[in-house]
This record gives sequence, structure tokens and C-alpha cells, in this order.
Amino acid sequence: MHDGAVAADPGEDLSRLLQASAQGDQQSFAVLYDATGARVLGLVLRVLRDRAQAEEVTQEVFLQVWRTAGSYDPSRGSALGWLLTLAHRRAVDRVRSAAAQSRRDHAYESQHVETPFDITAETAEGRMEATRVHSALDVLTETQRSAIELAFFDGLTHVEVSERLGVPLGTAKTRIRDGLRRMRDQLGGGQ
Amino acid sequence: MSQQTPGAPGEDVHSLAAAYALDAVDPDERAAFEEHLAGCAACRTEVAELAEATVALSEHLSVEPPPALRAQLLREIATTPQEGTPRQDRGPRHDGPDELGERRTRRARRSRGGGWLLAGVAAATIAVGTVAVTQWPQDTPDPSVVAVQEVLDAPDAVRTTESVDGATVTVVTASSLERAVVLTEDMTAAPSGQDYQLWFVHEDGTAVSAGLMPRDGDQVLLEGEPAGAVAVGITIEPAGGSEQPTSDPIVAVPLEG
Repeated sequence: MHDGAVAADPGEDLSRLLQASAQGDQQSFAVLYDATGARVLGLVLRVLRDRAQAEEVTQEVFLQVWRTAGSYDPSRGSALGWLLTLAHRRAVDRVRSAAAQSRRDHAYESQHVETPFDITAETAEGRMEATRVHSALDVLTETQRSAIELAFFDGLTHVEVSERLGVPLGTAKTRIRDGLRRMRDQLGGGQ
Repeated sequence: MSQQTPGAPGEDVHSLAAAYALDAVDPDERAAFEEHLAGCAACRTEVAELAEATVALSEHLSVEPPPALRAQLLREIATTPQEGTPRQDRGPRHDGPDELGERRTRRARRSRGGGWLLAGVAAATIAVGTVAVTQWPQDTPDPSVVAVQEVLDAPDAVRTTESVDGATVTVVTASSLERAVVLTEDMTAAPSGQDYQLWFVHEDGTAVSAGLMPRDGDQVLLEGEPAGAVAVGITIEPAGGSEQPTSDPIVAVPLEG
């Protein structure tokens, strides 16, 4: 009965699976999920820092993948990139709406505080030490790295990044842009 | 957070590409930049490249999801319509970000009797099989066809029919034969990799498998005896069926007396 067993072959072409899913092929979708589910949950969990919420968002992400797989265009990027972009967007939206809710809940006690957690660049750096296994970030300067980490992993906007780091918005934008471009160029140079 | 001029990124709109690729923009900036993207090939290329670069950021973060999440997800997609695929013109579109929650709420509202929807239906389920329906061979003979006819012809045969959003499901029971038959009309094939499974549902909400709906047929002799059951339910299950229902029923047909 269960031929076409669900086994995630590492060489499996995610792009092909995604396109088959777009055609309503639930088996391909299951294989796609098996190959990428842990990656998506890991990313979402890193942003949300809450296991239950992260699992919920992961499920929403894959439902969205199922619904909108037809909009994936292989000529414009990898399937994994498409999927993780979608996952990151949802995680960030969730963490921001949670932050907004929390701000509303505590409005009366934090009217005078712009950011409840006043973290300097140094402590932000320190907090990240434990998880610093990101070889991709190793090509960056320290300032680029913290700007990108705050944006990508903590879901901050570039305005919030500038506030958190205590630097002008233009500086934050430059760090984000230059850092990300450097990562891109590193990819192009091969690893 | 700081006030900004909403939706007015100004002349350095191109410079938002990186922040956009990291989702480090607020909703107004996002909307404005997406408008810009539509007409700026250079930015589209840059965003695509930068987004690709972010893939490496989560390389070492994998966390294995629990098996229940997978099972739940595969159940959900079985009833979730896809955008851009042929759809029968029925049922609401499910586009909103809160679709899952809404659907759960809706389902919860409509559920009773331990999750069994008597005469209820998940409208989307019927539409979802439209792509798969042509992929299944139509040449396998139905071995139970003779027995089915016996039940249909039994003098004490009792029919109960439920409409399922365009399809009809009829249960015919013949007490003298202690057997029951399910007949369907206009029901699309079960989604690829899944089967329609039939259940005898008892008053306390328990369900006993009555076999699978044949992929290539619209009638089946149910396994087991209908005595004691208050309804016959249909769920979508992984190919080959399940011990117990793993998804909400798409329909439950009440049985007489």
C-alpha cells in the first residue's frame, strides 16, 4: 500500500518536489516536508524562541507552501530559498505581532521605555556567542554580524536594529546591506 | 517604535533590498518596496540573490519536528485547496494567514459526537481530488460487485442518503444479510497517496473500520456488520487506511433505527 515510501533522499530535487506539490501530489509534498521540516522548524524556533509557537508556525508555513507552491519559479531561486524565505517571513510576522501584543499589554508600565530590553551591541554579541556556528557569518565584520543577527534572528526592523545598537538608521542600513552582500559574494565565490 | 513617513522610502528605495530580503522592514516599507520591485528588475535580481544568501544563516539550526506535526499537516493539506490549480467553483477561498485557525474554529463549531459531523462536510475535500482523479487507472474490476447487488436487491434494504456538496453518499443496509453497502455519486477520487476509509460509527463516538472506498469504483460492500452502528462515516486516510480515524470525517450518514 505504501509504495513510493516517504524517504528523504538527500539528493532529492527539492525544486521538483515543490513543483509536483503544486500539481496536487501529496506524496511529493510529504517527501518535501521530510527533507525540509527540521530546517524550517529550526529557523522558526530560532526567531520565536518558543517551541509550541514555532511548531504552529511551521505547520502554517507548510500549509502555505502547499497552497502557493504554484507560484514558485525555479528560474528565480532555489526551492529551499523560497521555502525558508516564506518561513522567515511568517516567523517574523508572528514575533512582531506577539511583541506588539506584549507592548499593548504592558503599555501602562512601559510608556517611558522605548525598548523594554535595553541591549547594547556588546550584550547582543555575548548572547549570540553560544550559537555562533554560523560559518556564513564568519565573513562579516563584527558590526555587520550583529546588525544581521538582530534583523534575521530577532526579527527586528532596520529601524529597530539602529535603535538597539544605538547607531543612526543609515549606519544600520549600511551594515545590513554590506553584510548581506558580502555573504552573497561569498556564496558566488564558492565554499 | 519610531515614527517614520509611511510608504515613502524616497530616492534611496533601492537600498531597501537588503533589509527587505531579511524581512527587516515594517509593513509600510514592505508594501512600498514591493510596489517598487514590480517595476525594478535590478532590485528583483538583488533581492533574489540576497534572499538566497540568507539560506546559509539557518544551516545549523535544524530541529526535528514531532511526528504528530507531520500527520496533522498531511491531514490538513488533504482538505486545503491550492492556488492556481483547477477548482470546482464552490467553497470559500482560503487565502488569509489565519485560515488554519479559522478552519479549526469552523470545524469545532460544526463538530459533535466525538468529532463526527453528521451530515456535515468539509467542502474543500471534494474539490481537492480534481487533479488526481485522472491519474488513477480505471480498469481494476471491483470484486465485491456481486455481493453489492445482493444487498441492493434485498427485500428489506434500507437507504439513507446524504448530500456532500455536489456528491451524494448513500448507505444501503440489509438487516437480513447483516451487510451494508455504500454508494457514491459524483465523488472525486481520494487525493493521491490517500484513501477514503469507511467507518461504522457507534453511539459513543467509537469508529470501527468498514474498509476502504475502492479508488476506481463508486460502490463498496462494507466490511463487518452494521448492527449497533448509528452512522457510516467517511474519512480521508493514508493509502491503505488507518486503525482509527486520523482525520475529521467528510461525511457521516446516519443509519435508520
